[in-house]
Amino acid sequence: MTISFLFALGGLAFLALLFLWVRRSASLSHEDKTFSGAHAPLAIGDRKEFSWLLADKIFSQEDLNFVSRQVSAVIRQEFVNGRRKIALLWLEQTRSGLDRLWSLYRKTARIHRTANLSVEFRIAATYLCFLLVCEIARILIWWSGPFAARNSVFRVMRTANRVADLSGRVLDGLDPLLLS
Amino acid sequence: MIVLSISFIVNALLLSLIVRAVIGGFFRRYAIFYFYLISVLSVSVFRLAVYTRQPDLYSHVYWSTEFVSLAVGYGIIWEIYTITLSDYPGARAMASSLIMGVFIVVVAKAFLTSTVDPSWFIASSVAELQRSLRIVQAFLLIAIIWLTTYYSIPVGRNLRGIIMGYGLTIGSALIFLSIRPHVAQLIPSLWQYLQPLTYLVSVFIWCATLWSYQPNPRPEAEFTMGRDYALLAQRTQRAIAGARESLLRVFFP
Repeated sequence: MTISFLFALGGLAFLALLFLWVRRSASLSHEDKTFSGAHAPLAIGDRKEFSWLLADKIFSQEDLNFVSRQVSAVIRQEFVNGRRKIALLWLEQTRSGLDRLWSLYRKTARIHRTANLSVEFRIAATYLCFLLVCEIARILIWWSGPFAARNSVFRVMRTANRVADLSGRVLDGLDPLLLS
Repeated sequence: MIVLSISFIVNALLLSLIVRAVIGGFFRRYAIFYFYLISVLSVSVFRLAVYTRQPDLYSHVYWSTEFVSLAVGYGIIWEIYTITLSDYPGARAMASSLIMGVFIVVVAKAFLTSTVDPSWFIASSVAELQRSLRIVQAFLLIAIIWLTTYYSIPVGRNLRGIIMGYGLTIGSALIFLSIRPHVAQLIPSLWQYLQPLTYLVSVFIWCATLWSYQPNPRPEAEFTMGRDYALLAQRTQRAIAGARESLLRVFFP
């Protein structure tokens, strides 16, 4: 009885998955005309958002210390709030930058035999890891401020660069003339 | 009477689908799928003949002929893979690995079960065997769903309809074959109508999506000299940016 029930439940889950896929694929039924495989390496090259220097500056503890020494607590609080907004914006841009890169990578990988299954899974797992650390960083920035979230932000940077490096390494092996 | 009416509607719709494909000239595009429809239609007519003339044999004929549509169903899944991934060699290579994975898991599971209980295969009922085969079909469809989602492969209206309708057949068969022994005795009338009605929904889906031919969207295939140059320029820019950043990190660690 229990096993039959589990199988029936599995069947229901399968139907739910099918329904979700149909809804999603209906919106994807037309190919994005602006895409070309050649864009993928371009996107990897264009990753200003993943700059360590910028992250280092936005989440700089020195800036906070300097402001704390110079001004009153009210202005300090305003400064922290302002930085929080910038930090969240930066995080959002980093994420959308990597999302774009990830999307272009997959669109290139589907046409060209770029990697084997294990490499593909490694890249996908690193990307999932990036999403997770990104979410943690966002909660930390929102909850305890940008300066306390410095370490987790660097973790985001490390993971983002790892995804970019892994996908870049795979795509670098492609002949540019074959990218279409 | 209601079941017979449903069966009649299903058969009429299946016939109209086949005729429509022949007239529209897209029968060959989805040859295995239409072969499946023909086999379902033939089996249904055969069952109806048995049901009206030899009702005692009906149950035996029903379960035996179920395997025909099940076997052709594997052909449909193969066709779905072939058409969906025809323009995507990279995704196709990944699909081969995935299917191989599913196949290895299935064989390993069958081997382990038969090792533990050697009489398993003989003792399994027809319904259990069918359920196992449906589960494998479900996993194969899940794999194609995952691949199209992961690689953002657009799926045309026709193919989406085939996947949706056949997926509904697989999912509902999985549920019915699992709960049948428990529910059929409690609510026999419900059981009697539910499965034909579900199949009717599948046929409606096919009618709505396969009334005319709509090919799968193809990936863009254009490459210009301008893009070549842009690629080279961007790569150089990337190398310079990397070098600059390394240099800055030396001065401002």
